[in-house]
Amino acid sequence: MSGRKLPNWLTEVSKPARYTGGELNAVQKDSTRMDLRFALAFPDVYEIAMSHLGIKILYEILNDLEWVWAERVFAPWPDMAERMAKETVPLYGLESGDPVAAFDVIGFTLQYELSYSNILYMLDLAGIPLQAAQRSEKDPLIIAGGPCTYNPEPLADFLDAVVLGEGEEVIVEIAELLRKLKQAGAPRREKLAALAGLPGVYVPSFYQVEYAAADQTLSFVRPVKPGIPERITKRIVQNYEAAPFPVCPPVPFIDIVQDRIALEIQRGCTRGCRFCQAGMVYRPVRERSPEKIKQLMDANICSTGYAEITLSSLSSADHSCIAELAADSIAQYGASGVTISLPSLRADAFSVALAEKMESSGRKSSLTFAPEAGTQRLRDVINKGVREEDLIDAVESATAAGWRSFKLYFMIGLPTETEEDLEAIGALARIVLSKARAAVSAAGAKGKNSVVTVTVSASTFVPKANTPFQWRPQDPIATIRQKQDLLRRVVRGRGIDFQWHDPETSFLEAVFARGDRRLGAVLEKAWRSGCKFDGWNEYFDFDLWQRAFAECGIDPTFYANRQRDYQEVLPWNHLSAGVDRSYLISEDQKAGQAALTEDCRTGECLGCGVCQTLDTQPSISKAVDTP
Amino acid sequence: MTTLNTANAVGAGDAATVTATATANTFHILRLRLQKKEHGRFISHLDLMRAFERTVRRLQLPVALTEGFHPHYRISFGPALPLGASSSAEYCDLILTARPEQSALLEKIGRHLPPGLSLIDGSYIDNGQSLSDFIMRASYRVRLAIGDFATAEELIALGKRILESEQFPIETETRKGLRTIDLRSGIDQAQWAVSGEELICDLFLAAGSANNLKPQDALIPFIRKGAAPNELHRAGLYGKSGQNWADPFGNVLLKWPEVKIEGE
Repeated sequence: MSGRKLPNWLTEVSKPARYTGGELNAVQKDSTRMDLRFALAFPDVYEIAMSHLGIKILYEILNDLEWVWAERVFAPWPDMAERMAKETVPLYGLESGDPVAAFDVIGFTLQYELSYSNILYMLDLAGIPLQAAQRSEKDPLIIAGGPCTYNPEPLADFLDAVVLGEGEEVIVEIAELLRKLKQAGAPRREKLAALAGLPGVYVPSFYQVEYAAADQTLSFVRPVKPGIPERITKRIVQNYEAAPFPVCPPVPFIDIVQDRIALEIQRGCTRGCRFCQAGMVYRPVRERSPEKIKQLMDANICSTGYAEITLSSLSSADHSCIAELAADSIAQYGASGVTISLPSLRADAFSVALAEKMESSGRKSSLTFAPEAGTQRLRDVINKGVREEDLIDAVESATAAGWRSFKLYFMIGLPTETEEDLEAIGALARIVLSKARAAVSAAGAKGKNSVVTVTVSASTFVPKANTPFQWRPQDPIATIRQKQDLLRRVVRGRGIDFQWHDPETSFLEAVFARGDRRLGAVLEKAWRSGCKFDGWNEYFDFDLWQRAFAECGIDPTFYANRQRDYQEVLPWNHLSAGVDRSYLISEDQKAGQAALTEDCRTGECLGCGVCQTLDTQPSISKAVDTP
Repeated sequence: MTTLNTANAVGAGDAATVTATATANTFHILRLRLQKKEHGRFISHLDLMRAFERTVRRLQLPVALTEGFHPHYRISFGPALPLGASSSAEYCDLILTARPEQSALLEKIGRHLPPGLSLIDGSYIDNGQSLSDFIMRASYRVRLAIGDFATAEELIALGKRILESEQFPIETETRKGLRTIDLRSGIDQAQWAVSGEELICDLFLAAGSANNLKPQDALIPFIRKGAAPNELHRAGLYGKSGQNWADPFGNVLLKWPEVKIEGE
């Protein structure tokens, strides 16, 4: 808060502290002394945005440079957006209160496809032209990063540049480059050309796409001029252990979704689940050393005062030093009331023992496992290395340790799925329930403490770019409905609860996850007709989306429900996560045979190509003896 | 604030002098007076408490923990303030297991509070009531924009009418639906003055566990006449010290109103 006056009407919008800035550790600088103004944008509401680690990492890296001021900007909830329009307040940076339209760069993070309409919503609130081609010299550069950039094509019309991969190093290169060009008075076009010269940076307007008249698939994507790379490969940090990690992040006053310190203990995952985009695009796996983790923990507790730390990663129980790490941190902080937690649990007894250590002083809430599929065959198809006996083991040890409530996550619509696989979900839930009940009575628990509940949650499979299933169709909405009906019939009984989601949101997600540039028109039309906050039930309006598709003459099932062949030019063919296409194909073919692929942490190199492409290697703290 | 410097008036008069939580030699109570300003006024009471707990953890202050599965710090706050109001009277008590030197401790806390909050005063309370037992009154200064429906004189007349009545029932909307409350019993004293387009109201209201009138409820009759609060500020919290009103540090209030908005 650089002494700016906050309007009284803020009390009339919901949760005004979303819009005031001025949190502990929020960075204040003198705007007159800055060479570059940067906005880190998250296209969702404050409580979601502030739970995101990536923004905090980049915020600290940029603000450590004395000549750049990085501020945060998030999507105002619609009540606030209306009020801002009424008061003619444009979208502003939370730190300075200055309009972001006057900044040099706005960097959006693309975490999920259903946030795309909010990018247009925010650009509009900021008063910035939506289309990159319409922006003038005075407008900021709009760039994007995050997992959805492995296919950013539906957003190509709206983005000036896209960063593939890890942002820690490239963001500094971008800032330095833009500072130099700004001082030299370079025009926008020159800035874009210079950005396109940075490894990992993609400038969509420098590429031409053409579609085949016959089947509407892509004919080619290619650079429009010499000197522009034909293929862009993601960036990774040179040395993960030494990579900057926030030690002084802003601490919200209001309760947010992840209201704790998220300490990233490892990046990447070696499990190789074939549906999982994160598992493919964040390769190779790299661990932080226990010494470094402890040092970061200390620094974060001192700077934030949070009472909870989560040891975060895609699969934290896989960290080679996780047991010592958990024991040491509990010993060090437990007495002062600080709790340590894991974000998700692998379905095995080892993970449950870990969770027990962490929650031993606390009340046992519920435990979540993700078998993903009901039968062993289908789990082998997706390469989810969970066996029924592992899950039962996990449930039995958890029950003995005092847990009574279990959540099982499944996906429906997976490749090769049959009715048998779906019925097996019901059977698995019943087995878990009966094993847990047996363990409860063996422990002699009585009354309320003997009641076991199993919640089955079934989400809809969304095939993603740069995964082995990128060629596979998503089940049509009607099929998903039938499958949900079937599940409602088989996942039932006392102690069993079933949760599902509307298939329409997963369908829209699938359309945009593998869409091409033609979807830009649909997105703009949908936003103009009122679409925003599509990830929120209260705002998602499928009818508006269907109308937008129809008015643009685009069939969304072409993107969501069509089987592609391996020869097809995919919209993201020119964008690489480092994993070879040949590896993705071989994984897809192995899926067809329900053949497993080993974990590269324990087995030999699988030849996914990431280490060769990026000239790197996995980094594991110590040799592993547990599976 | 007009104060009487009476060292022996701490915590006040003939009331019970020892709280159940503060037995001799084990615990020490540090009472703080905080200010909420700028964006701090958009921090809710609950969020303020959490922000303060985090400050305690950052500074590793020797605050006692509660027993049980989820231990938390033994800190208690005075009555809540409406969202959007500023305040120079947010009091809290910290139950400490040690007794660090007072001025260094206060200096450290003052330096590390999150922006939007600042420390006005603080002191060890060796024998006194808990904040919730002590506090019975709150003083507010409200700047009301005079609307188009009533003149300043009419608003002042309305205020006088409230004070002269035996009872002044109004309907207010609560989470549980409509409720009728008697404004008169919650207003101890009130005073009005016109300043340009604004009506400045100083209110001395019932606060605390026995009887409590929220300042926004006290303003309802005025708001219904088109007035709109531009600014709501809590200036002080008071309890009894013998026959007198005193602040939670025991400073006796000699005359009312004497609203000073700190830092402005």
